[in-house]
Amino acid sequence: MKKLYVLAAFVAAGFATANAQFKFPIEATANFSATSVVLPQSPLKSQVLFIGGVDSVQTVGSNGQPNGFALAKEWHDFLGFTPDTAVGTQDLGWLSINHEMVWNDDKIGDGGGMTSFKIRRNPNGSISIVNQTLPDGRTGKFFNVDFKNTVGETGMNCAGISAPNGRIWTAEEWFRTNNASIFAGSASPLGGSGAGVRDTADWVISTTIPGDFNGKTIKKYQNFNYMVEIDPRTAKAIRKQYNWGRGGWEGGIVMPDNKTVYLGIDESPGPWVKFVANTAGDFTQGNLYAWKADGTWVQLVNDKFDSIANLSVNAFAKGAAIFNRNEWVAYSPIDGKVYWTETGRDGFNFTANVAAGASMSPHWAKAYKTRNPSFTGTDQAAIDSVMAGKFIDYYGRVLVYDPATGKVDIYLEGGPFTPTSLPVNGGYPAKHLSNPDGLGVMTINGRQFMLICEDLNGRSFGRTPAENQASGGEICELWMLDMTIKNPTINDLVRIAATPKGAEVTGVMPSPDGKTLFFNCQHPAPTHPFPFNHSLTMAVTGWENIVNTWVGVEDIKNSDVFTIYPNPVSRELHLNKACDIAIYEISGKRVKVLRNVEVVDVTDLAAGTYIVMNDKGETQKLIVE
Amino acid sequence: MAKDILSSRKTTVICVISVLIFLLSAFSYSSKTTALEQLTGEYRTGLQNVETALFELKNTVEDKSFDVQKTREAFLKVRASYKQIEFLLEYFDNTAVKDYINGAPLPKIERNSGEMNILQPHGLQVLDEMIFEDEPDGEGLKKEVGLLCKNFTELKAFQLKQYISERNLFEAARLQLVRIASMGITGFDTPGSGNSLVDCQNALLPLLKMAKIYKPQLQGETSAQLVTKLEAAKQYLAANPDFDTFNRLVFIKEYLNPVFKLFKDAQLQLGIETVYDTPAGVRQPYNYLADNFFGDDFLNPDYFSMVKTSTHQPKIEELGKYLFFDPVLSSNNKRACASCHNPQKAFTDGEQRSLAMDFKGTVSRNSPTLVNSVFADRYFYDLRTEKIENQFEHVITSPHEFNTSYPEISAKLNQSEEYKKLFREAFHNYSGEIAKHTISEAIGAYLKTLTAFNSDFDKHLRGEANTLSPQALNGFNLFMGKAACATCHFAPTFSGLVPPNFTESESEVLGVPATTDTINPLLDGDIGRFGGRMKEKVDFNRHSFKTVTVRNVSLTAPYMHNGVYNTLEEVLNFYNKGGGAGLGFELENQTLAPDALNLTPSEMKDIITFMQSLTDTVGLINKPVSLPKFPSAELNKRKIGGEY
Repeated sequence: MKKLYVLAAFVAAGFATANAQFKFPIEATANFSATSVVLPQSPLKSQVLFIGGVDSVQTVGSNGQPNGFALAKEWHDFLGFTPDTAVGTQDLGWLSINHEMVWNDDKIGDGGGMTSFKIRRNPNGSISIVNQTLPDGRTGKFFNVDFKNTVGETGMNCAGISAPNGRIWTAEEWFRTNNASIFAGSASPLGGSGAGVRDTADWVISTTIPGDFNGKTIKKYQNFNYMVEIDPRTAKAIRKQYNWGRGGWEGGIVMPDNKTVYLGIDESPGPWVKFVANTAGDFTQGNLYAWKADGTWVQLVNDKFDSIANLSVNAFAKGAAIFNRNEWVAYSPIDGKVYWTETGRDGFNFTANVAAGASMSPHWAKAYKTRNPSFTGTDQAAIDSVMAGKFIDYYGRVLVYDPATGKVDIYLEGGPFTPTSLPVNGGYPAKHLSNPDGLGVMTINGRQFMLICEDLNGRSFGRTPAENQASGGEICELWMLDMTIKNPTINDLVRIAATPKGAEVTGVMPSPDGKTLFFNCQHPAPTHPFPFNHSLTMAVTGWENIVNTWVGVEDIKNSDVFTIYPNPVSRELHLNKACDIAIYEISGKRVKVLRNVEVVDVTDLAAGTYIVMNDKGETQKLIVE
Repeated sequence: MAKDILSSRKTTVICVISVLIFLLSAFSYSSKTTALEQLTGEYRTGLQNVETALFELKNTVEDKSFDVQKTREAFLKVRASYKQIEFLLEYFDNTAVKDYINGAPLPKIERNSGEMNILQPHGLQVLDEMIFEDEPDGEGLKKEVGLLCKNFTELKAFQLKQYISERNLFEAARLQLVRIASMGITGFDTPGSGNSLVDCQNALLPLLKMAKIYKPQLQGETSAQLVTKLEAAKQYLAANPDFDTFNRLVFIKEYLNPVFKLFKDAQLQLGIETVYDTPAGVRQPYNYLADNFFGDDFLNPDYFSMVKTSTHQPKIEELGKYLFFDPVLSSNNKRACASCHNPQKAFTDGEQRSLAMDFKGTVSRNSPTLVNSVFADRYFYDLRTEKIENQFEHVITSPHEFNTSYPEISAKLNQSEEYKKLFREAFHNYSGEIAKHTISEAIGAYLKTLTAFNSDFDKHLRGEANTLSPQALNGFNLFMGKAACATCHFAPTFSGLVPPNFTESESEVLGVPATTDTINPLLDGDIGRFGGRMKEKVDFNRHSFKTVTVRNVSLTAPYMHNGVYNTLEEVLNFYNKGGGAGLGFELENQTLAPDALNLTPSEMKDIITFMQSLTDTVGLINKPVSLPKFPSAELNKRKIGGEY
């Protein structure tokens, strides 16, 4: 009975803390505090480089047609960086942009695709696009990467690999199972939109990769879902990596040995895969492996088309460990570990897969226990619960693999973490991470940061604040994490950018010197002014100036005195403690009321002086520069 | 010891729950607690009540002697408790509600997945169908109820931690009124039980409680009327329980809409901030400060369009209007947007299928009206594009339509000094060259002006005029009730734009025939949504078409995606028989209920009369008197609105 009593008291106490809501007057006339806080202009400057559907790309002629141009495809996803190593060059290098779509285009080629272009950093730090003339005679700024006349069309170009030496692979997710699934149907009274890949004739493989691939005739759909190497300098595809297998590929990383490649497959269940080349730099020959729950790697046949045609099935039959939609992969040069995003999925049941030979990755025990703190069972019991579909993976996580030990662990578990007690006056947690997808590691002034991009699978269960629930559209955020923090949690995340509603932020790629961050903003909702209603490639410059502004806030956090302080990087206003606030123009007109917040996004406030009032009527003056 | 705890867990849980309920209710009407505390408590109690009712239903269906009557009673108790928290649960997590609790009983494609996965529907609507079948499937029910219990428990646990502000309460309450008016009274979520009018009473209960709690803080008319009107609304529902004869027009006009306004007045009077004081503010599909959800200011075109209203707007719209009527946009300079979208016909063309370029046959489908077309989140009958700007991009590039490209159009327009001047004046960041995004934005801005909510019906509903015949009024009630039209053609747009959030456009599989031959009917071969987006190519989308508006239907014949029907009588006959199923098509994925509606000829006539009262194109139909000049004399001969 004692337990009950405690719980009852808890309920009552909880209610006592539920305060009356402070009424912020619509017009305020109070004597405002003279204490001023300045929100300086951000040292970061953002710039739009490449607008999908608006900028023209130079295209390669085929079927007797000359080179031409067309409006670029949209749905920007992965972004690769290839440094320009030429002696005396003024240029930074090439950017390669994935188009995650399946569409028909006579000039660009059907399916998805890529665009590459060369960039230069100006003396003021801004980026400009360099005019180029390519060996095939194309001249201009933006170039369509030619797949159609080289290795065959690609589809849904999502992520890929940007190797340290600048070699680029594009990945084709969205696993296809028949020719009907790559073409919507001809535009005709029968109603096809013509979208997709119109040429569904059988494909004859032409490759130098050893095995039974070269000269083999396959169904057209079977020539999709590979990692595909391209050369951004000539804007041509080089090879479909048949020897890495056919699957719903997403991200990968080439290790410093230039032999080992770790690869993420966006499938549920999906295996964790590596390829090891026989010779450094030659990825046409080598062995393919899948990771098992016991920390070992099992080799997979990779020189026979029938074996690689559906990589995951073969991997699981050999005991590969189950992950839930592996996405992007990143490498930390400081600790030598491999990080990747496991984006999660709202519902799944892996019982049949385990029965068919797969193993459950041990990290599921930790994931389950983190979400269910009251669970007291064994690790195996937790893993079994996940396997049997008793764990809805709303938020996903960042995983880490240590090549030295062969172990996989959770690096950062996603989600909003509301207190487990009931009831609470908690509000929507300012720190939340859901369905991480794009991933990168950026070194700024010698300090290493992880960049994590969200791609929400839905809005339910707090993946987005209540305000965004009803009005539709997810707001995806780009988070940054200081990797010197030991055992990080989502509370350590710093928000860098929120994309327009409905968009996905992706393709994070720092320049090697850490001064510029490139990223893509994919499929934004129609409700934003040009160019933010198109897929964009953006550059954010000036990172070398900002790192110090993040340190030294702990004292403020521990203070009970109403304090506001700015984060100029993200144009956010932070409060010492979560509370209700209103922001007034200096004239006394109320412009914002926010309940139970610790961090306020003030990007929409024009430069000027404002008054911030808390729920005790205390005020601070805010000067937005 | 551990064993003891385990064995006593069940009773402990029950004790905890009852203490909880006691505590919550004890707090509810205590004068010491604030309105917010009381209503937060109500919500938490309500969540618990649903769970309790659900587990009672579970016990009932799991009982060895499965009793249909008891199961139905237990299910209706679940519905009653659910409806009392629906306003907040939908407000805070409409995705979870759709996924697990009260989504439509139709399969869906998994969101944001790297693979094509089809998700089967679960929740109250599925149960509503199952439980009210003549012989419910006991085993299936056990599974479905068990799943709902599990899902609800998880959602409840999350929702118990939900922080609620007074703004949230008022917004949720007002959205619930729109939900009741547009979905609740139409029977949208009660496909089997037909329990919707009882549901509506339950849905009003928490709003009434809220009104009572805030009453002492309110002044004047608002204080006097909010509770009174809500009580009256509830009594009206109780006094008129028959679904077929329920007077929906009176209910909306005299009760729901006034309460909708009173809640807003109360919120403002109390000094409670609105959504416009938050970062999410301007992104609403509706105007939160509107007084009437049939008002012409209720929906917010800015939300749906790529074009933001700016100080330059009239210039941009004027430019867009020139472009709309200018055949220079097509490759042969003979066809304009207006070729298939004639303002006199509410921007349709009267053809079964629109004429194709160079008179080479027709395009695939019937030309839809552009009036109010901005209010959608998908375009084309197959829903393949997201923005109206993408819609006309497809028209521009289609070989059967304009057969050109934006670079070609830009090159042509850049020859015209007059067009250049218009672009320069309209766009403050004009670069000196006419480019795709400005062309697109101008046409989009013009299309955004083609909104009209001032039909005789709208005016009647708003109390501005009293011109509707009894037949039209009866027609509205049938449309919203017995004839089930409004369960797909949702008010107030009477299209597939789903209220009350207005963020999604729906498509339906009706089984439209290829011809009017009813003796040897033939299913129209158009695959619809199945041939639209690659990521929506699933069997249940075969022959699925966008639900277009019935506003201005007097002007937009012929009807359906293939223009098969010339008259509204034919359309009504088709639906009355149960669509394709009534014609004898075996269409497994038909989403239109296959049952006959049993409408009498006079009822069908009344529905048509109602639809004819939805005509409004006032101020939208005038063409430009001239088009901008080009250096080429030949081009200057081009005809306003196109030659054909």
